[in-house]
Amino acid sequence: MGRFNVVIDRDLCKGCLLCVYICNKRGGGILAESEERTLLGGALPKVIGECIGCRWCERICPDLAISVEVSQC
Amino acid sequence: MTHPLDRYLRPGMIPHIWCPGCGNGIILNAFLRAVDELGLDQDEIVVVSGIGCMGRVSGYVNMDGFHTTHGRAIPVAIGIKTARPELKVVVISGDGDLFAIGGNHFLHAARRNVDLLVICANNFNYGMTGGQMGPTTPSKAYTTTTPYGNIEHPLNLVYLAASLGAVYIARWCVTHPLQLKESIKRGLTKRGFSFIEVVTPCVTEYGRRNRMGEPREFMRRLREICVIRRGVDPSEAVIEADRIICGEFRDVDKPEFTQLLWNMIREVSEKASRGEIEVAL
Repeated sequence: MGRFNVVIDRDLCKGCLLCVYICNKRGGGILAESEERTLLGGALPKVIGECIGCRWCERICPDLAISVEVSQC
Repeated sequence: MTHPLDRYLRPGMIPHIWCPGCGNGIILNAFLRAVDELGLDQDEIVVVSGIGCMGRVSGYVNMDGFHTTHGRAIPVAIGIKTARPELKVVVISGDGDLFAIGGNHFLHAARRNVDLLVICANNFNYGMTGGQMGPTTPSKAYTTTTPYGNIEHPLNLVYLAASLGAVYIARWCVTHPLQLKESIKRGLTKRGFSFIEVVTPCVTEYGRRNRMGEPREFMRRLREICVIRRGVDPSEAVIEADRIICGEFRDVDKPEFTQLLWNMIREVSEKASRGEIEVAL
C-alpha cells in the first residue's frame, strides 16, 4: 500500500473521466477507465498504480467525488 | 464516505444536477477550497446567484445564499452588502445571467465599486435552456438559434470590466484550478469590486453542436487555446475561438462604496445630533 490513497465516491461520480485525463497528463498516470458503470452510464475510474499525491484529480473533479487521503503508516 | 469539503456543502443537495464534465463543478470545487484555505467562517459569507446552471450553486453551498430572479443577482448582492457591510458577498452566476439580462447591473456595480466578488462562469451559450446563442458566443459558433453559425461579435467581459473600473480583474479557464483558487482567495480578501471570469466547457450543448467531443477531449482543446499571460494589460485579454488569454489583469485600490456610504451616514447623523444641519426624515 502506498502513502496516498485515492478515494472515489461511487454515488457521486458521473463518469466524466476528467480525473483520468488529468492523472495521465499531470499526475502519475494511475487512474484508468474501468468496466464498471455509474448511475448515469458513464465509466467509473479505477486506481491501477501507486498514487504520487499531486491531488490534481481532487481539484479537477466537478462532482467532488474524489479525495486523496494520506495514510498514517 | 467523507470528502474534506463536505462541511461546506448543504446536506442532501449533492450530487448536483450539472452534466458529467461540466466546468461549474470545478468552479464550485475551487471556491470551496479557497474558503477552506482562508479559514473563513461559513456564516460570514453570502453566495448570491441568478438563473441558469450556475445559479444552482447558492443551494449547494452550506452558507447563506440567495437564488435571485433572472439577471438580478448583483442588485440583491449590493443590498446585502450595503445593509451588512461586515459580510463577504459573492456573486456566482453564468454569462447569460450576468451579462445578457443583468448586464446593466454589472455596469453600475462596477462603476460604484461595491465590495463584491463576482465569479462569472462563461460557457459561451445559454446551457440550461437548450444551448441558445448568447452575448458571449464566439463568431461562427453553432448553437440552437444559430444553426448556420453565429454572425454576431462576442462580448469580451474583461474589456468591459476594465472600462468600468473594477479593481480586480482575472480570467481563468477550468483547466487552471490552482490559479483559479488563488484568484478567488485574492478576490475574497480584496476590498472593492472584484471580477473573475472562468471559461468553462458546456459539454452537452455548446460542445455537442461545435464538435468539441467528450469532456476529456473538450478539456484538451481548452488547454490548447487557453494561454496564461502574467502582468499584461486588460486590453490584451483577447477571447477568440482559437486563443483565450488568461491571467490577472488588474489589481488596484480605489475607495469602496459601502465604506463611503456608512462614513457619510455617520458624519451626517453626528452633525444632525449637534444641530449643525437639518436632516429631512
